[in-house]
Amino acid sequence: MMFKGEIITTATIFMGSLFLYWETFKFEGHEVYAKLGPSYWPKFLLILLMGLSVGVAVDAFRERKRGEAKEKTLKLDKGRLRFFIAIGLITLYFVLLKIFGFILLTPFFLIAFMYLLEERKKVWMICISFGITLIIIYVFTKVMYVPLPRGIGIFLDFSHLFY
Amino acid sequence: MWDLWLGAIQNVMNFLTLFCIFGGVLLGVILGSVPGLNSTMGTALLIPFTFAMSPINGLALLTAVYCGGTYGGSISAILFNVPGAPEASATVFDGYEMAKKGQAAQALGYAVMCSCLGGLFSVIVMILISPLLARVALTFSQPEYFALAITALTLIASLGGRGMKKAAISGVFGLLMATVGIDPMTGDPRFTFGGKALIGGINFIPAIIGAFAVSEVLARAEAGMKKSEVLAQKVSTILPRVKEILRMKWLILRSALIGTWIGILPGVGATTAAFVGYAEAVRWSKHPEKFGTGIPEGIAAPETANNAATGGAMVPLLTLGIPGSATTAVIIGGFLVHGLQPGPMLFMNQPKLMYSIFLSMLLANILMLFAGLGVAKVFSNFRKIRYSILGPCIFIFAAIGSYGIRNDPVDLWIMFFFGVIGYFMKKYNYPIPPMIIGLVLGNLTEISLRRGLRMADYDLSAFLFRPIAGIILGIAIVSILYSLVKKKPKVLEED
Repeated sequence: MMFKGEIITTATIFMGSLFLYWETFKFEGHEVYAKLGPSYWPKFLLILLMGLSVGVAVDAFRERKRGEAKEKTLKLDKGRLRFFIAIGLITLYFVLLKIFGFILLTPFFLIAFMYLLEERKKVWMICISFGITLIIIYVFTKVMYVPLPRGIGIFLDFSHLFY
Repeated sequence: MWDLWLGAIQNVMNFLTLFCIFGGVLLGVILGSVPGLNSTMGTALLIPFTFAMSPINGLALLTAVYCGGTYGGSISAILFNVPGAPEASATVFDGYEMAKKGQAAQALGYAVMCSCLGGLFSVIVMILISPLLARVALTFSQPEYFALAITALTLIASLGGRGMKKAAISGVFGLLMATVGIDPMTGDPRFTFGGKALIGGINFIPAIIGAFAVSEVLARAEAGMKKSEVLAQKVSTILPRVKEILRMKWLILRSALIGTWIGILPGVGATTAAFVGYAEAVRWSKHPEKFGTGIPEGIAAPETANNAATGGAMVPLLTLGIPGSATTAVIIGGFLVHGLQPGPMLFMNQPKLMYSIFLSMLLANILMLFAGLGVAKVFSNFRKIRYSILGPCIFIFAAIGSYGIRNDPVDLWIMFFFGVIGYFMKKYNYPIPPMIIGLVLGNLTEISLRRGLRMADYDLSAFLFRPIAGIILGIAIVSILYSLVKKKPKVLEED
């Protein structure tokens, strides 16, 4: 186990729990439920989380003392870079989905994601991206009547041509 | 009695009704296996079509879709780590692990066979003792529901292995996430940070899809193409041998009983049944540490339990007119369009129809074997595709599956959030299943505890003095202590 990673993780859990615990004071409880108001259960869980995260951190220190923990420096290799690009790509897709709509954005997102995963056969990438998008649109909107994001403005009008 | 069965055979054993049953099962399996579509949606869409059919054909079609849909979710859960339906969430734990080991065909075989057995068992129970079971189920109150949820949560202790604290963190995190949104008792918003986005709470389907499927896609993106290629292989369903089923006979029987019983309880459906079935399989196993690593028992237990819940959920519907699950609530519509009111009077006025429904559900569960094999074969072909192409397609289906539940873009972000969380959990050895169990059972646990305590004037010990709740809680406490005592020597040995 990576010692640094363990400590960062447990510290994040502890600090996050502490922040959320502070947040529970904002819940407005009603008098009739005063004994077990809306913050009762979350507070109990957050105290548990904080206690457990301290326990895991103590275990990590003990393991390091025994020499079991692996020290690993965090560096930006090719794989990690691909991971961060994937995160960025997905974030961008979800942000732009509201503007451009499903039909316009999805094929390009699929092509970009396939390229990121080192697919290089262009014909396959294009055919599958557009094919999958059209199949999803047909099955979800025409057969099962599940609405898909349409986008705004001119993109909304464009999506109306298809679903 | 025999007259009624003969009448039912006469009603069901004709081409049109059999076609409706098989078509319904096939449609249900397909709907169940595609993330974002489910049997509830399918039955709702089919109700207008059943208007033109005879009551028997219409109801046979709807119940067949229900049975097929409950099984269908396991196909994508096993092959792609994406549960097609919420009922298949627990199947992911061992199903996908088996597929990763190159045993996808066997995993699919166990899933379809156990679904069939679970479904058949519950229909037989439904036929034999429906009215009695419905009356007992109505005596279940908040303390009993709380006891049931706590018993399922004790599974976390068994799943932890050496990292018990990490499993507990994962489980508590899941329980905490279930508190997000409007407090169901007081109506106060919790952890919404003043915005509207989280007011509806965290739906567990996008969370499950994110934690399993998106985290996997992210991990593969990091690993690169070489590692990704290993999983692409030819798969066809291999049904388990009779010997293998007999080896798991007690596990299957126990899961079927649990599933049927949970199905009968109003408001707790096949998803909870699958988790409790899985929890009990772990608890009773001689090798609990093997669960989650890809073993057939990990598929048999949830799949038997979730399909057993289909028959169970029909019990209160047919005997009392109370739906036991979301889909059976929709099926009530199928009765109403034909001018039938489900409930005790229906047994007296239309006994032949009731027995025809029983028979059609029995047939639906048997025909599920064939429909399941066919659909699994089509889906398994997708595994032959390179991951660099398959991965992005899985992501899009995961996104649409999450979005389709409430048509709310917030669910996309919830899926993504849990995808990233799942990625880091895998990286730092925090088990994901306890988080999902916590998230699924969180609401039930909190609400039944708070309501139960109000009923008992805030005296928790009163829970233990109710016979059913006391016994269930007692089992939970003993099982936690047992897993703690059992684990200690192992850890000490390894130390």
